[in-house]
Amino acid sequence: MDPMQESVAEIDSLYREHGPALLLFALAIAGERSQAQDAVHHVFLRLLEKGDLRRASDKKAYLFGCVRNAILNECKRQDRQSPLDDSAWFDPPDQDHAGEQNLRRAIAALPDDQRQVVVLHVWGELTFSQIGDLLGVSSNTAASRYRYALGKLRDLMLPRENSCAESR
Amino acid sequence: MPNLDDERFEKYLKQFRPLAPDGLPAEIRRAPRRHSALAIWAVGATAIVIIGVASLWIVNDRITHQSNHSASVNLPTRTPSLTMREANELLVKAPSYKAVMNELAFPPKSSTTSNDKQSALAMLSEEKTKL
Repeated sequence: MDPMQESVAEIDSLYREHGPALLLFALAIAGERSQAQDAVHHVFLRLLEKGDLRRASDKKAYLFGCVRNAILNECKRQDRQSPLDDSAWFDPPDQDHAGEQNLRRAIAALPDDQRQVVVLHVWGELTFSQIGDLLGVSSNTAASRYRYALGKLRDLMLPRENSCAESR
Repeated sequence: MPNLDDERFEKYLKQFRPLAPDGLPAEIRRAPRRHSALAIWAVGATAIVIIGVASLWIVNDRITHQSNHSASVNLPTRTPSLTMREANELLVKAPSYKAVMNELAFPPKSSTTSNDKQSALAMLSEEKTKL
């Protein structure tokens, strides 16, 4: 396999592995699915054009950084942030579509910085140190934003979740 | 010490798996290679066409040049060569020596033209009669 093919195969595999979390992260920033999808595609197509990822020491964090930049550039270009659209973000467990909607709304209700941290940590599986590097803050700041975000999510979601659990 | 509630809530959140994005279009994924292959094919085909046209043009040019050259060379040979026998026949048939010399110097032109050629004068005269 020549280096070009090897690089394409690696990018393909990264897309399959991290694509869902990257799309969710893009959705958490942009709020609109098509814009988020375009940003993720844009990042991967740029990678395919350039042909290699070897310069990036932490490939996963690098991809999240690229997606964030792509989305922010697009938002800056359009001079607006799209409101949350109604399309699903998650594949819910046990077909719990109401839970999916609650989670989506709760995430959307978080402040931007907390929303990004919670998505990066829970679904992106990045450490607070990686998140700190990506967002340009210390790992402690990232961790504290995460704690605040998690508390707010719980407050927003659990009353409804508890009622669901009781009904079961 | 980790907050167990946080951990449980985090586990609960992780049960919601983010949806996968649409796949990268395969043709875009392979676009750089295909473009380069197409470019190579296009350049090759163009080169072949250019060489073909140029060689045809050169061959045509040579043929017309040769035909022009052979036409100019063959012109004098169109006059039939006079043999002793023909000269004797002419002298016998002709009314006078002067007539023989005139016939040899100014041979009668054939008025007939080949099937694929037409006399411009004949055509013009026909046009006039039509008018």
